[in-house]
Amino acid sequence: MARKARRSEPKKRKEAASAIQVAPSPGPRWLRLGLGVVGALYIAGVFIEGAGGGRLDRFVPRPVLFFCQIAALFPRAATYRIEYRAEGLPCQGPAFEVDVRPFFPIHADDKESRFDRALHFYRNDRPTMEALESYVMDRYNLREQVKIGGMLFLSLRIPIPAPGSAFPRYERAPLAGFPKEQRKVWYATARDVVNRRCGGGDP
Amino acid sequence: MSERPAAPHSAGFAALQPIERLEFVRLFAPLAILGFLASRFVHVEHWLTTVGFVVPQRAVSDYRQPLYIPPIPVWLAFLVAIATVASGFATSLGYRTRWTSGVFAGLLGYLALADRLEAFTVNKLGTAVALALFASPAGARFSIDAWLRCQREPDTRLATHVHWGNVRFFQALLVFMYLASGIAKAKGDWLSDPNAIWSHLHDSYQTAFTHFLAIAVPGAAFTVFQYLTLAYELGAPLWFGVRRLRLVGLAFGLTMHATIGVMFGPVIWFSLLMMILLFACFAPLRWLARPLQGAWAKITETAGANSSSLAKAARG
Repeated sequence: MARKARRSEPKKRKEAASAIQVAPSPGPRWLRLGLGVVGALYIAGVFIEGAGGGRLDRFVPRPVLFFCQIAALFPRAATYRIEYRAEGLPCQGPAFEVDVRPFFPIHADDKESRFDRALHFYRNDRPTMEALESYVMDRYNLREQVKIGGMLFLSLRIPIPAPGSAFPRYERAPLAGFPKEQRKVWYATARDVVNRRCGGGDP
Repeated sequence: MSERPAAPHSAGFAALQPIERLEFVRLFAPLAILGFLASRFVHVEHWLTTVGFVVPQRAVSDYRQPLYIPPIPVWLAFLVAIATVASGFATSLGYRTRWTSGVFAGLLGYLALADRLEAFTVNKLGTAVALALFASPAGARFSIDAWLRCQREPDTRLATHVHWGNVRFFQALLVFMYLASGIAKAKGDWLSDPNAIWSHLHDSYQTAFTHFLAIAVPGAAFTVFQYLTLAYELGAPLWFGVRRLRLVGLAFGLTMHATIGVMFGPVIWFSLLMMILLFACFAPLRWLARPLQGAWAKITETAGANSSSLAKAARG
């Protein structure tokens, strides 16, 4: 029985081999080898960037490295629930909240909004904040009666409930409802700039 | 990592791989990427043109703006969106796969680099996936290309296998992605803070399901899930490298990504992309082959009821 099985084995293997049809990879051998090396280097880049073990930006062009930065999501615990908000500085009277969602319609209601992302990445970058100020102010003044001459961008740092405790469902609440100690201002137009803009009538 | 007989000249890591794994990626990964892009393409003028907010050019390239690409006219932005959708669907269907996957990869690369504010893991990883499909023989089977080839050459035999690199790339990428994530989490807060997952349940990503779980499940359950996730990611080479553990790794990975998908709203597309790659790379071959071959047989038999060549193609 065993001998019979052994005799039929090469035949089976031959049949299996003849049933195999290999789709050729494109290009000549040197190109396929090259692509293999590129693939291996890419995986190494993803690993090193994700694990945080190297300074690849010294060797790898940034646009290439950018595509390696795909691992290591949420490595840290959140210390607060962060929300980014805007206030308008009118020519007269106190600052008031500006709902920026109509000006950033992509994922307007979650933190993938361009407004949130701009503040997340560039909140300390003055040229970008100035460009953001100009964008929001222009859009707002086009739509509203009460004009503004400056902006204030801030984040809310809302404490995270204790583990296991009951808490209400997430909902965007008006800025006025948050105490001062939960607000962190990142950018504000200087008062004299607001006054200058307001000097010649409405900005 | 495959159950099919290998060709006589190859073995082990370098064994020929069943084509189903590659074609599964080609069929479904572009759909997950397009799903992610859909909500952005609806307002494409706010993304790629000066109609929306544009981050100004920075003096020095950094991780936020590795390459400055100026905004484009609105008509061109719409054209880019249409071309991306068309090339993505064409890649998925396997129509002129070499060309369409190349165009898809190029456009995804542009979209990721054009603006950091809309660059997420899905379109960065998606670019790599599309490039890998472009460099592979994807579309040789279960595709319009294969269907047309059978019409042109009735005696043709469709491919059953591909060279190992075409599949091993995706498998290794997944394993090293998980391992890197696990190391980053271990170096971060996931070992020292038992509430790392809990702390992320409260922002605008929160879904009704997240809220329900957070108030219905004891807080300790999230800590257990946190350590299990860490063990899964750090142990990825083991889960997927040891054949006997592969199903455990696959089941945990799919469950983990499904849970993340339903708990963190917009992250659903990332979860889907990862689940597609996981399933294609590590599911037992019969789980891939049966549905693919069944669907292929139905489609080709329906399309070519009167054509013997198509019926032959359906039988593979």
